[in-house]
Formats: sequence, structure tokens, C-alpha cells
Amino acid sequence: MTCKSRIQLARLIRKIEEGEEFSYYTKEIASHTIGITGSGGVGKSTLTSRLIQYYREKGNRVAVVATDPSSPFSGGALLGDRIRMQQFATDPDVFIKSVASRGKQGGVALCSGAIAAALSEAGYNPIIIETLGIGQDEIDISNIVDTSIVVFSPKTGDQIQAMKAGIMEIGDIFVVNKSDLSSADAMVSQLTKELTESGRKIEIIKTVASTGKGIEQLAQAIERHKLLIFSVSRKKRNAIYQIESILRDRIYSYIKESLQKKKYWDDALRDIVKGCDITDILKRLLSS
Amino acid sequence: MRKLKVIVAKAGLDGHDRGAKVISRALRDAGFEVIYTGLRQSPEQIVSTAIDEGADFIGVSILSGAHMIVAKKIIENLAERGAEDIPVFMGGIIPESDIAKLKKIGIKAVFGPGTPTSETINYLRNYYKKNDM
Ligand code: B12
Ligand SMILES: Nc1nc2c(ncn2[C@@H]2O[C@H](COP(=O)(O)OP(=O)(O)OP(=O)(O)O)[C@@H](O)[C@H]2O)c(=O)[nH]1
Ligand SMILES: [Mg+2]
Repeated sequence: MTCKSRIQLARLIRKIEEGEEFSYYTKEIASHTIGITGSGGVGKSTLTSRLIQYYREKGNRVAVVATDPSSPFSGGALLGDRIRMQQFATDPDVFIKSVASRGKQGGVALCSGAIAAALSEAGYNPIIIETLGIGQDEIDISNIVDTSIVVFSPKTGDQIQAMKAGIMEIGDIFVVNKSDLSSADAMVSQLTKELTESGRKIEIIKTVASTGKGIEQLAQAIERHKLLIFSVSRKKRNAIYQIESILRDRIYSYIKESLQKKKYWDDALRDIVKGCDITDILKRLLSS
Repeated sequence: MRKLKVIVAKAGLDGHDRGAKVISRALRDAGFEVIYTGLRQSPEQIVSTAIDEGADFIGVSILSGAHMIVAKKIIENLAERGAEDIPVFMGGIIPESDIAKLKKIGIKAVFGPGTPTSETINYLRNYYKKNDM
């Protein structure tokens, strides 16, 4: 791709991000999409960087969409995932895009899937989507990608319990990263036990993202999963989910803004704080 | 309304990153989306990052004394890649006498030690408005 069209691609992606271009929300993604999720600091970005390296050595053109949280107070964000991938910044066959969650729950930005669609159209394959890592229910990733990888580190041990409800159910591959640290094996046994109990059969791969150990095995597991889904019936990106998310976002902003304009919103908040019945206030808001 | 996107970059072997982090946080707290590149970036890396991220601004933090060379290379690289419309500004330890020279080669503004972060924030917002980017 020439310089000029790379700038055009970046500008298109920015438009998608800013809600100025909607057509990519419903476009098919031909490329294989890989999600990397897991609690904060488990090594998602370092692992992503290793995967970029792996796919580049194979001759693939790789793209990454990396998510970090927006501040709920200022609406701003400090996007730092890219720091771990900067050695690929000048590689013409690697495209890295950082996105902020912009108030959306679920671990990915509203625009992540649509950006992946634009990157797929531009010929990047695979596309890796890193979620933000707050260790809650970052499960939306499974609605967007073909292969979801849930990353654990030996230190996340006690968090498994909390994550069971959501994140344990979405993974196609489990990774125990930082397996250079002691208690990595304990983590693997714990995960194995959880999986046996829930009757799921999922590969668990041990990696050391900081040195590259285990990346080959991880890539092979990804390949196996890809063959599985591409040969049977490919798990399609949930377009309905995408559209629903964006509609919900737009409707919410629209209603909130119009209520705020007429001060109904502030009055409602004040009355709720005072202890008025929420159902009554909702009725009042909806009829106004 | 678009969110404003800023690249904050550290160039070359300069390891002083406190100022870059201070300004990154201040911009985040003012509602900007900041992409921090980390240390030891080449001008090419900085420019590529700005292009791919669709950045509105590039901010470079330099305390090593290499500001003239780095600035020149970034401006040249932006032009080579057809991205000269991305404004570049700088901060760090930059002698007063170099500021005019930097502006001459295309750096939009320089914010040295002691500049209140609100000044930088207002500058960027006004620049965006004025140039209707
Ligand atoms: C702390 C410090 C260090 C720490 C750095 C810790 C770190 N991780 O940052 C340590 C001890 C590691 C260090 C090492 C060295 N240092 Co030193 N260091 C300083 C010192 C005392 C303060 C810098 C600082 O952190 N200031 C606080 C921050 C918040 O201020 P700031 O960076 O200026 O940022 C503000 C503004 O400039 C602006 N800003 C900064 N960046 C940006 C970017 C943008 C986009 C914007 C808008 C604004 C902006 O906003 C900030 C807030 O107002 C300065 C002296 C000084 N008074 O500045 C010397 C100084 C920078 N160091 C100097 C030197 C020489 C060195 C060494 C080479 C010493 C040696 N011989 O080993 C090494 C080099 C290390 C390396 N790899 O680069 C010289 C540089 C001389 C020069 N430029 O010609 C200085 C000026 C001291 C001196 N007077 O000689 N140093
Ligand atoms: N010991 C060890 N450290 C690692 C390993 N992989 C990553 N790290 C370190 O763990 C820290 C966090 O790594 P990141 O890749 O930024 O983690 P992340 O999950 O992307 O973090 P967030 O995006 O902030 O949630 C860094 O200091 C890495 O160097 C590993 O395999 N072993
Ligand atoms: Mg990360």
C-alpha cells in the first residue's frame, strides 16, 4: 500500500471512531480476528507484540486494535498499549490503532468491530483486538472476534473466582502468561479444574511473553481453532450485537441530551437523591 | 464533536520522561485522548504513529539538547509522507534562543519548564478551532 492510501485508511478509521462513518458496522470481516482479553497487566500487549512478530515472520500483514479505558471524569484517555508494540511502528505491513472505551462497558470500544472491518478490507490478516484490562466482564470481545484468547498470569489466581461468571465462559484458548514466575503450574491446574467442572474442553498454553517462550505453541493453537471455525461454519461477527450497541449508545445520548436541555434530567436526579420513587420518576421522564 | 487526539513522544536516547508523563496526564484530564509512545523513538516511528492513529497533534518532549535535529527530521518526514498538516509542538529543556529557530522550521509552539499545563491545553484547543481541523 502506498503512503497516501495509508493516510486515507487512517482517516477512514478516525471517522469510524468519531461516529462519522457507519457503513463498516455491518460489513463482513474476511480476515481472521483474534481477541486478547484478561485482567490489567497480565501481559496482553506484550503477547500481542509477540504475535505481530510471529505473523510478520510468516509474511502476513497484521493489524491491531488496542483498547484502553477512558476517564469517566474528563472523558479523556491515556492510551499506552502501543508502547509495547512500537518496534513495529514503521513496518509498512503492520497497522496499530489505539482506541478508548469512551464510556462503553464490556472491554472493547463501540467502534472496534467496525475498525476491524476497515482493516480487513485494507488487506490486513489476522487482526488482533486487545481489550482493556480491568478484570470485570470483558466479554463483548467474543461477539466481535473469531478466536478469543483469555490471558491469565500466576498472580491473577484469586481473581478467577470473580471472573468465572463471564470471562471463563468466552475463551476459545486460555493462556497462562508470565509462566517464568513460580506458581504458573498451580494456575494451570486451577484452570484445568475449572474447565473440567464446567465441562468445557479448551487448550491451555503457557507463555512468557517477555521472552517469546510459548508463542509458537499459542500460534499453533490459534491456527487449530481457526481451521475448526473456518471449516465447519465460521462464527460470524454478531452484526445484530454491533447495531444494537450503537443504537443503544445513540438513543441514550439523544434522550439524555434532550432531557438535559429541558432540565428534566437534573430534576429527576435531584428527586431520586431526595428519595422519590424511581418508577414514578421514570414515568415522568418518559412522558416528558 | 470530535475528541482531540495527541501523540506524546520521547525522541532519541533522552531518558527524561517525567515531563512527558505530566503533560500526558494533564491532557487526559482535560479530555484529550493521548497516545504515549514511550521512550527512545525515532522521528520515523513518531511520524508513523501519528499517521496511523489519525492524530490531530504531535507533541515531542526533549530534555537532551537534541531538539533541533529531531524537530528537523520530524518535519521532513511528515512532508515526505504527505502528512505535513499534522501540527508539531515541543516541550522540555529548550534554550530561549532556539525557539525562534524551531518555529522557523515548522514547530508550532514550545512549552518549557514552568509553563502551566492549562496554557498548553488552551493552545491546542484554540489551534484546533482556529484551523477548523
Ligand atoms: C530529574 C532529572 C533527571 C533524572 C530523570 C528521571 C526521569 N525518569 O525523568 C535522571 C537522574 C535519570 C537524569 C539523568 C540525566 N540527566 Co537529567 N535532569 C533532571 C532534572 C533535574 C529535572 C527534569 C525533570 O524531571 N523535570 C520535571 C518535569 C516535570 O519537567 P520537564 O521535563 O521540564 O517538563 C515540563 C515542561 O518542560 C513541559 N514539557 C516537557 N515535555 C513536554 C512535551 C510536550 C508535548 C509539552 C507540551 C510540554 C512538555 O511540561 C512539563 C511540565 O511543565 C533536569 C534539570 C531541570 N531543571 O530540568 C536535569 C537535566 C534535564 N538532565 C541533564 C543531564 C545532562 C542528564 C544526564 C545526561 C546526566 C548524566 N551525565 O548522566 C542523564 C541522562 C539520562 C538519559 N538517559 O537521558 C541536563 C540536560 C542538559 C541539556 N539539555 O543540555 C539537565 C537540564 C540538568 C542540567 N542543567 O545540566 N536526569
Ligand atoms: N515476568 C514476566 N513479565 C511479563 C511477561 N509478559 C509481560 N510482562 C510484564 O508485565 C507488565 C505488563 O505487561 P503488558 O503487556 O503491558 O500487560 P497488559 O495486559 O497489556 O496491561 P494493560 O493493557 O494495562 O491491561 C510489563 O511490565 C511486562 O514487561 C512475562 O511473560 N513474564
Ligand atoms: Mg495492554
